Amino acid sequence: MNEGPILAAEAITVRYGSTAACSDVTFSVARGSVYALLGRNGAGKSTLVRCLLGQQKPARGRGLLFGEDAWRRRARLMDRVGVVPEEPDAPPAMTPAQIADFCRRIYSTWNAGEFAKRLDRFGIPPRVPFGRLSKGQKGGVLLALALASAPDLLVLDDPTLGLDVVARRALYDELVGELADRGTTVLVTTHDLAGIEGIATRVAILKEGRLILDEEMETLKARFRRIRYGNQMTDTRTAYGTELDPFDAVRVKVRGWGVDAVVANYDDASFDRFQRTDGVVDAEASAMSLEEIFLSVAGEEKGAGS
Amino acid sequence: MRALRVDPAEAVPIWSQIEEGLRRLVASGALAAGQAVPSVRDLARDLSVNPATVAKAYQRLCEAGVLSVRRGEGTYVSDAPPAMGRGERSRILRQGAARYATLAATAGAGVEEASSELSTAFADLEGKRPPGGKS
Amino acid sequence: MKGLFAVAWREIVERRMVLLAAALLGLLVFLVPLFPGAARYGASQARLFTAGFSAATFCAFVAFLLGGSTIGRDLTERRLGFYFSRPIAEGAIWGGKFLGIWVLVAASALALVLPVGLADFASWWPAAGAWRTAQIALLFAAAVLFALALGSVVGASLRERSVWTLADLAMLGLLALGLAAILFPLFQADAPALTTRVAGGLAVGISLSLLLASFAQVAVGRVDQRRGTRARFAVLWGVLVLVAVGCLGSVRWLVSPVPEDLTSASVRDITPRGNWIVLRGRARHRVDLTASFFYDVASGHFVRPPLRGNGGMVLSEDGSTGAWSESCALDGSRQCAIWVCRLEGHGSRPRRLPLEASISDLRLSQQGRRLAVAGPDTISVFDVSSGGLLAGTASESEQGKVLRFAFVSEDVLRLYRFGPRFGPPVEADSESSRAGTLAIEDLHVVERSVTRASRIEGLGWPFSVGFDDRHGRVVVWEKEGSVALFDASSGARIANLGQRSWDEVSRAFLFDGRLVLAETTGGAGRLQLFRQDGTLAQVFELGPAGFVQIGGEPQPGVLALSISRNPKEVWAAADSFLLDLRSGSLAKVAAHASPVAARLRWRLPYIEPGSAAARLFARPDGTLLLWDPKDSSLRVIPPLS
Repeated sequence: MNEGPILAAEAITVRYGSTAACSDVTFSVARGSVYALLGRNGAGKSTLVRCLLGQQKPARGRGLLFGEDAWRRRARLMDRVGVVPEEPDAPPAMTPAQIADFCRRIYSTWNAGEFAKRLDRFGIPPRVPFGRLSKGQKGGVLLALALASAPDLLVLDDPTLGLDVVARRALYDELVGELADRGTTVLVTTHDLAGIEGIATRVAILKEGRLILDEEMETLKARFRRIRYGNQMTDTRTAYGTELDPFDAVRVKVRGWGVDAVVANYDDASFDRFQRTDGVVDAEASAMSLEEIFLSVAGEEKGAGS
Repeated sequence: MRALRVDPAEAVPIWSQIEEGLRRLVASGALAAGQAVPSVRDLARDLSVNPATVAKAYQRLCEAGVLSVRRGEGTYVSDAPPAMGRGERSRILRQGAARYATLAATAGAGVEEASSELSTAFADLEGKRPPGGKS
Repeated sequence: MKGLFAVAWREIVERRMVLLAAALLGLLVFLVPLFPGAARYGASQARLFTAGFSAATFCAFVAFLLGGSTIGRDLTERRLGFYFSRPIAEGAIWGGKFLGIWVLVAASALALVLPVGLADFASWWPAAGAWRTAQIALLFAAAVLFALALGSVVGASLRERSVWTLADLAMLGLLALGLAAILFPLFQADAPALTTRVAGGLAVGISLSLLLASFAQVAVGRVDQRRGTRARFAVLWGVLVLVAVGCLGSVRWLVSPVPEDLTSASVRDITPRGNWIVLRGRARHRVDLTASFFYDVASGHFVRPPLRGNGGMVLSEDGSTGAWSESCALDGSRQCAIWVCRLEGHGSRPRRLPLEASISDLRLSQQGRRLAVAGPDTISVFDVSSGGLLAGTASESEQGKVLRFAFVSEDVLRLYRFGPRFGPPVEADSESSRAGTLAIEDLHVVERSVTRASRIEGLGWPFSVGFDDRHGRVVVWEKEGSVALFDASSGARIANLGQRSWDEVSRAFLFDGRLVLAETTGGAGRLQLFRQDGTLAQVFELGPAGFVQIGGEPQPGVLALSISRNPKEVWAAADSFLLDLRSGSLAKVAAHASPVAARLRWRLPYIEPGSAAARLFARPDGTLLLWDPKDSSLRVIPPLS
């Protein structure tokens, strides 16, 4: 068994004319992990995914699947990868049953029964042409296709885009079920941060084509906090603004009632000391959701330069 | 498992939330000794979290003796779930107390009001516990 | 392979309507005989023709459109992402789509022609046969593939609507011009079978470039449209440029054969002395291309005029100059241009004379300074260095029609007018018709005047003439058999040489002016040698002979003859012999060959002993043999490699 990462990006750079869609992006996805690739619209996620799947050749660098160059060995490697693209791209004239039959011929392992059961579960009619299905149904067909080939890697490019709450939940249910049954490695790009928060094991954030964060979910959550406190004038307190230094403040807002700061290097001991600092009153540290962390890291700065 | 809730936005890791939640359910008697707990797969789907997280929580509870696995049948609450160690109990209480104190202070309550609410909550919990449970 | 066939099958299933439409058309064809115009052709012919024609146009149209939509649209509208996410190789994706639509179009063609083909089987099968049907089917399949490839590239380019489309058009223009320039010599060479083959090769090359370009777009571009477009452009025009270069190389090679490449040759003109000849024949590997050369048999040196039409080629007497006419108007009005070049050394650059004329015959003066051109109405003499017209005269006049002309000096052209003017008299075979005339005129180039040298009258019609321009003599014999020797300057009869039968006599003047007559009677051949004054000097018995032709003198005092067994087959069944005029001995020199001089004597003013003209023999299969007097050996020329 291959010890290395299931999927890796090596200094991938993609240019469209003079703008760089991806700049020197390097990361790897370990076996069994659920890797969430986050970024704003136009940050370069889909381009990166296409390079990793051997569908697009980067200007520099390469994507590796199971240790092999994705561009050169794409056809062979796709046998072990299940792909659910952002835009459902199956031929519109084919029915799900025909698509399954087509896939049965080309994949080395194919679970026709599983595919049929999933379609049934999603409530998708197998003999209606793909083009006439709803967006949610199309996504369901593609997910079922991706899972029926028993892939070692699952790549989902914004799978919940345009889905209603029920469909989204169904998708996550399927995903978790698949993780529980087979321990598939997953790379997912998404805007539904709340939904992926519980499932992802590692997070990466892409901003304007650059990878600005690549970290385990637990450690990320552990070190980001929102600290709110008030500053009071005392005899001994002379300096203001330096009290947050040990915490690596990312964003600081000074309000009438006090300071509202997002810090990236929180730990309990330091916070204890902080609370007892002269002039610091009502200090309170609260955990942040993934969405809040994302906003502070990848959002636009208002006013002050970054 | 309606009583078990996890909030990914909390400071406490999810596996820890699950572990604590189950401990609480066992301690309160909502989960009786010998009762089956949901499989890793089912609980993960219910909570929409990574099964590995659930598995980790179950693993720790098994090591602590709270849960036990029966081959081929699933995971069950141990017949005699161990009592919590004194040190551990103190730690948990202290952590919870600190959170509660902060919460009360933010709400603008004093220690007397907070303590009286605490007593009421304990009384309610007593009332709900089926006979034969631990004190 | 599984991927390839799976993709191909999907293409066919998705477009099964095409097959249905074709099948429907195939049945509709049965209604054609009901149309008013069809009655002319007969029911079966009308149906077959309609079916065939419909199949061809339907398939060409459909193939082009399908090519455009299958690869062209799929790429530009990003429909291939689905396939790229599956374990199917790029080659299988592209190849499967192409295979699918190829099979679909081929099947449609079959569906169109099969009903009628089976119904009228008896009327076309015997004529065509299995082999020809298979050939047509293969050719059709190739044409469909070409249409598909073309459609895919054109479709992709047009749908892109980017600057690359304009670049494609620009390159197309350049390539079209380039190919026209490359192929032009081939068209000028007037070799349709060869041109067809080259065109076929070119079609294959173009198909290859289209297919490779389409594949490159899929394999290199994948889902990146811009990259795919660049790859398509680069591969398409890169390969096409290579094809054009290859075409250029092969066309240049094709139109530049050397004499050694000739598989069979005939001699068109020859210098009466020296070693230059005009060779023409088919060349190895060049199908129906005819190549012509000015060739020096002694050294093997040659000058090849550019192949442009089958104009006449002539040599000057001293072998210094060659001239030829070419067809320069493509409408075949026989307006020709005339080129001249010097032959010594490496041959000078051919010079085009600034004149165009309709040419039926061409003649150079002895030293190549004057050129006589026979047109439909006139015979004109031009100056070679300036191309200016020096003098001319009507080719038909009261005296008769000029059938032969020759330079007696650089400034005098002798014309032989055969009369009467309006052709043979009505009572052609009557003994009393003696209306034939031979008028000999001299055209003085410098003075621009025509003087009549002589007129011979009272000749029985028809009559034939042998010429000795060097000594100013002619020998005439008439149909009823009277042979007579005349002086060309005065027209006086020098001697009567007796009655001979028309079909069994051939005559020739030797270099020194003596006349030789060869005849066969009763299956035996006989040669008579007359002195300059017309008196009989010697008679030689030739043994069994059907017909005798007289060549030149390979050595002074030796005469080359061809003797054929069968009087009817003059050339094919002849063997060549050498007759020693002093000793009378007859030796066979070449089997199945005849002296070249025998055929060209009409054109030549004389044949010098020992010249190439005298020593060349030709076989019916186009082999030329040169006799070497030193060792009496025969050498094949040009030496075939």
